[in-house]
Amino acid sequence: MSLLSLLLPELILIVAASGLLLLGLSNKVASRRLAPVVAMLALIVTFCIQIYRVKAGGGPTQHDTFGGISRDGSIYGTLRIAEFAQYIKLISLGIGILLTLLAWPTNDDATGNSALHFGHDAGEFFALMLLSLTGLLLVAGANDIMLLFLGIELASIPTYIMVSVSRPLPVAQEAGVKYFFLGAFAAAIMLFGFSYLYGTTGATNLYEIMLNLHPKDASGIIDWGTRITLTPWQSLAVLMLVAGFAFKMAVVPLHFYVGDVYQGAATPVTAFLSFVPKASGFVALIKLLFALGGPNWLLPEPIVRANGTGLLWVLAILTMTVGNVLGLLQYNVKRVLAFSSVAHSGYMMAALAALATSQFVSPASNVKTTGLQAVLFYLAAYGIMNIGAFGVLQLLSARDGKDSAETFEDLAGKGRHHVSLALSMAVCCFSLTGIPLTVGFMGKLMIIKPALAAAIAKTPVGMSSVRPAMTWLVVIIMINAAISAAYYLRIVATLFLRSEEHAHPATAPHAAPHPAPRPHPRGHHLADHAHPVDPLFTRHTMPILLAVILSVAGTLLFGMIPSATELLGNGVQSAARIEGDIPQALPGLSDKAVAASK
Amino acid sequence: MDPLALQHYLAVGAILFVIGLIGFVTRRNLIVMFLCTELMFQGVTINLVAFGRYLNNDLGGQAFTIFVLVIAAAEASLALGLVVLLFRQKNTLDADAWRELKG
Amino acid sequence: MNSIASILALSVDAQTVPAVLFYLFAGISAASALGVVLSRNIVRTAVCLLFTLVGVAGLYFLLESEFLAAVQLVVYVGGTLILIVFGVMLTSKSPFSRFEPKAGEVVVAIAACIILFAALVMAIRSADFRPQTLDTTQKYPVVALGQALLGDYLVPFELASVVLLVVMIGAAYLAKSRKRDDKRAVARGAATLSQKARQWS
Repeated sequence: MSLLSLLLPELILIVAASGLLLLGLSNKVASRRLAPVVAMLALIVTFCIQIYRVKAGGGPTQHDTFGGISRDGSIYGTLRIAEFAQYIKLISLGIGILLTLLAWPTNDDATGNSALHFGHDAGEFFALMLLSLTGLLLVAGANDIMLLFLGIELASIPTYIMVSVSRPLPVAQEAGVKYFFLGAFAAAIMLFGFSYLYGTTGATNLYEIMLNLHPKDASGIIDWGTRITLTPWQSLAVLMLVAGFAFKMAVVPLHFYVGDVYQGAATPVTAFLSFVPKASGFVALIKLLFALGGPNWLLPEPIVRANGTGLLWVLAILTMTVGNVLGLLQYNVKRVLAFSSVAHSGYMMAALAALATSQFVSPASNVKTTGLQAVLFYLAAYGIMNIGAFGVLQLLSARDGKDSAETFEDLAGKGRHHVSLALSMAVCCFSLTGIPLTVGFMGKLMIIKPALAAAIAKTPVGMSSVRPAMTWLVVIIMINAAISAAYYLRIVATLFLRSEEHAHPATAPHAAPHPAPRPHPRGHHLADHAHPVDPLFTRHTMPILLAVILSVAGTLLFGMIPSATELLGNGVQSAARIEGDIPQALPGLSDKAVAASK
Repeated sequence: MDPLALQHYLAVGAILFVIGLIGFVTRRNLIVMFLCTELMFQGVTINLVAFGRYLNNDLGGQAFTIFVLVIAAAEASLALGLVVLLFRQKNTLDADAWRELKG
Repeated sequence: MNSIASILALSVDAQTVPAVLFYLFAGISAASALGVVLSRNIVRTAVCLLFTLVGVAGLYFLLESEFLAAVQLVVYVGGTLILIVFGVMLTSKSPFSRFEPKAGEVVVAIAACIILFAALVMAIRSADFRPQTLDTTQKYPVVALGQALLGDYLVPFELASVVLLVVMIGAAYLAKSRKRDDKRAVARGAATLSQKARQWS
């Protein structure tokens, strides 16, 4: 494949973003209103291309480098689009479509609504959104730490701006500044890790890094069967990289910004934050772990210890527990969803922790493949079910009728008036909890499977057992699912069971400091029609409704219909064959790599 | 001993990085916090250039440094946009003054 | 006389000159980095950063990365830092305003950073990295860097330009949103004025 066709989806998005920038500068309101349509078209086109590519690319040979720019025509290109990358691109673009629907401008008056602050410049907003998605696509294809870093930054930098302009309220700007400064800090830490990784392996190419880390015999054949030991330097590099990625993934200990930032941003932007940066962090982490472990995932010491514990295990348990406990303590529904997003990162880390123990259990237990599949499946599942919850939140109006709902008081009793919406919220919450017949349940099942398999698998002779660690992991996942059920059910119960009178503004603890309702000449769209007409079915809210419908349909479809689940599962399965195309003997090994590995 | 080994440069890089880290965590003025992230970036780039030089003149380090400079410049312009925007609302750059978002 | 001559001869030894320059540049950048963190005056902080950047540019020269040194001076010192100074001027009504952190925070932060620094020093001392000696026979030309940027690293290179596009859009967007907010503030002010006028009449 030539470079252009390899980068076709990214290029389409970049061109569309440039066009949107020009649209945003237009003087005509009509052409500015075209912006979301253009963004949607670009995403649909790229999504279709991606579907075609995933379908066309059968075996693991459909992949990687391109003529012309790779170093010796071998595997050293900065891009490497294997099935793993194709899958990540596919789900990012699919969820990107839902996110665009969710962000469809509904708030013409630019009030401090948690719907998108439209005003007159949706063009720039959607341009930033497309560019952020482009960053995620490039992270998926990156085979070089420079491209990985730039991709992560391209995915993040637009989100800083999106957060701070999403609402004309001080809270949004505060959230944007907080997010930006901590993001720059995390980027610096990540970069320091990258610099040491580069220095200790002598390469910026992830593939070369993997080759240089692993021992090889006299004839240059790499020994993928030995677990490497990291030098103190490399350990430091790995720790700092994991810390940098942890910020993007919202993993403890760099999760603390989540509550404030997710609350301050407008709801569609919050939904965006809970998927795109998180996915970029997870993809980058998987790439790093792959480079360290090689195709057999023999991850080295600080990441996983011989008894099954280790860095990933600790992070997984801490992240799940901290996220869920903090989620219980919130009164603002957006903050609840924020900390639940932390908890879901924890579940995905748990699958990675199980994956890391695959080297200590008998290969028959199949932990290696199921672990990676679980992460990839859960990423898609979380993206799908989460959007519905945010969409419903955006459609329901707050007590004072000026804003979209944010606190539990806002939601109280709303389920009686808007049964279908509340039911959608219930489906999403059940799915996020992991109740059967939803995609969340399938995801949880897949997360638990590798950990359980590692816990009951036979330990090969001469190795210590990972059984206690993995048993604890499974138990803690279960406990956390139960804790999360408490606050998800609280959302549903508030919608249906609490009465509206109960939540009087004067008595309610109203801690999210909305500014006093402003005198506004035209009022707000949703609020305007709040009582005479059902506000949910105006022309403006249709895209959001569509996003909710698609999200709920996806949640139920992938959870209930086995063939649909299988479809996603098959995609995940082929994507998890990340190692499929690694030759054991390397024809194009450059002299430098050989010299460096001596 | 060679008067200038790789460690010397790495030590300078580490010192700049850690000073920046300390500053970011302790100082509460947004502009100073931003300058501290710049210090951290400088520590990183010294590492990269030194590694590139001592790794058989590998160009990866220099190329990476250029990308880091691009990102740093991009973040600088963004930081100023955001900071000026906030300052017009609060008339202060004290990071503790923005406490509207609380759990 | 003789001894002075020998000292002079020693001081221009091919090995000591880079070493002296190294300690000079390293000292400048580290000392002014401390200045950035410790100074309570924001203008002085920016000037300290200037010296750090110049010192780092000097280190690039010693590492034979002249192009990067020039880029550092032109882009960072000439561009980014000026931008920051503009920010300082736009935001600080009194440049001598002080922002004191809480004592507890300082202790925790310094303790954490000392631990990290100790870890870094130990890692560096263990020195288990490959390149120990410098191969001075090989050239390290700028041409090769340009070829690498437009060859091996073409995709990241183009991506960097996309990042710059993002920032351009973002800066314009932030400025526009500010203008819009101002307009709305003016409109609000006018509304309250007319309300007051109605009350009085």
